[in-house]
Amino acid sequence: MRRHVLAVTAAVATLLTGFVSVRSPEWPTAFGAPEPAAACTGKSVFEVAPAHDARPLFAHAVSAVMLRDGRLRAVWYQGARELSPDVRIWTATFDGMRWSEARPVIGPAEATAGSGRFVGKVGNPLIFRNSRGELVLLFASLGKIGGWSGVSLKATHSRDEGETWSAPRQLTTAAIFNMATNVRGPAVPADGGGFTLVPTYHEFGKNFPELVLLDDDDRVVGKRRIGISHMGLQPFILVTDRRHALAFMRARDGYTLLSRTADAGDSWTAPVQTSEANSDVPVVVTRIGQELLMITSRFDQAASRWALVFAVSRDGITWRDLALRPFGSGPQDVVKYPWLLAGADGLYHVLFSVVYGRGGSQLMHARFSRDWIADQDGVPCQ
Amino acid sequence: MPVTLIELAGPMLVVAALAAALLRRRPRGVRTGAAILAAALVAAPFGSASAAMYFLGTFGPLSAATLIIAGKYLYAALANAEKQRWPSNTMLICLVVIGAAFYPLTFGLTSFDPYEFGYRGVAVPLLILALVLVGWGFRAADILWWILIAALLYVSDAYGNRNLWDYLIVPFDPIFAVGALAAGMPRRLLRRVNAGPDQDPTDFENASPPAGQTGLR
Repeated sequence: MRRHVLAVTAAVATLLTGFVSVRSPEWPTAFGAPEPAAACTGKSVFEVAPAHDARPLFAHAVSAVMLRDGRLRAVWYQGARELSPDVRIWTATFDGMRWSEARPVIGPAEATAGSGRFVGKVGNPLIFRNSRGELVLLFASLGKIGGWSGVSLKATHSRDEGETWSAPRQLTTAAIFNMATNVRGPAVPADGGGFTLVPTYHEFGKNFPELVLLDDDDRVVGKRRIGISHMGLQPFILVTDRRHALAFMRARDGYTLLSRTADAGDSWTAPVQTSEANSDVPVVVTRIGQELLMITSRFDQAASRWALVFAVSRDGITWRDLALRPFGSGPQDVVKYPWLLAGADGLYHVLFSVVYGRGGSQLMHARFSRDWIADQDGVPCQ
Repeated sequence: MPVTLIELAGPMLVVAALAAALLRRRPRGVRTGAAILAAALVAAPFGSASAAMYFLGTFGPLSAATLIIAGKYLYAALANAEKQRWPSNTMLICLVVIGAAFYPLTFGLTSFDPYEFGYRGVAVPLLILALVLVGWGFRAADILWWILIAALLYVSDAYGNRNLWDYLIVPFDPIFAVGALAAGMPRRLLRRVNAGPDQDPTDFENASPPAGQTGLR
């Protein structure tokens, strides 16, 4: 008799579970409107200046967002070296003229105290604005031992444009001890508000890119695998219209990968190789007119230095290099991790790391106008 | 968001069960005291974090299956119900089958990711309904408790996690189940060879508890 009562109770609880499960948020049917491309200004501009010199420390993986007052807020991680216990997430703002003093936002101790879960190290940050207008900071967190394969994500948000941040919340994104989910590419708002699509990637065993659906309370409510072929990682999602988007992925060795969606990220084509060589570095892409502009980095044989690479494409598969801008003083200095956004000043802003062979790194800030792209034999101004 | 009490209870329960099991030949009072002390130590902060925070930071909250396994073990150790120490073979087999089908696919072996189904839809609720039928049909009360607790934790959003899979199973569970089944197999075979058809030593859903005891079944 007791068994029957227990079975009926479990069955009722199961039905309740099913009711809650089917009423959980659906995958969005459309993306939010893509940001308009910057227009030609009549002036060809390309300027580069250091945004933050961390040397002898290591600053890396910069992510940025536009603030309501037109300033740009950047976040990055900084410490003695990658995965060092002293690494913290740092931030600074750019007011159009100069960068503010950098200050730490959160480190392992604050993440442990705030989340109630031990955090030994922090890594890649990602900043974006949710549909409530709050800034959200996702960051990689790890235990004391092990490398990136043990990474999971935490989220904190700010209601004052990044001056103060809430206690971080654990995001659950993976079945096996919630391990191996990392972030890099910018988040994409879902149509109708309430949800944001966050490109992520799996970092244990086989790498593959994914897309996580996050609600405005920083809870993961959905997830899609972009594709497992070619072991792509660090997806960059370029929304082309309400339902269509392209995902460009870093490849361990070979060529930048491309996958497409026609249903707002619910399903993706199998990743294919593009013509753009990729030396295990992330890429950023934006639309300019009918063409795509990619910014990535690779070793420039002619200059014998690492360079920021600007390339254009009509279809996302076949790319033509426009310009290579070398940085550093020799082949040991590596340029990587570009972040692209259109500023209130009508210019594109690219933030990236120059990692020096002698140790330490510098965050660089390049600004260029749409006219400069046209001058490089790129997309002409209309 | 700090951890909730229910999240904290998982590692405390496991450590209490281990402490009581290690001292199972000692008097009941010693076992009980050791279990309480161990649970308290897990929650007590050492420096900037407690052992529970280390555990939750590394493995995350425990599934209902782990809670049932640890709870059953703790009950058996404290109540002298030695025969009820292990989960039923039916539950162990269910854990092995689900773990073997689920985890390799989440690991990127194919483009298909069953973990996605935990966020929404009827697939995982249908699976747990099937488990309820298995538990009822095979008289495995621990499966019914497992599903009931997983469902209640999920519905109450106890872990702040909207994926039903994480309330149902964690990788510890199929690993433990494989070990438990393997450990029980030689004894089961020996008993069959020596004494003919007899009570399966790990098949406790059909075992009678000692007089005066009604354990978690």
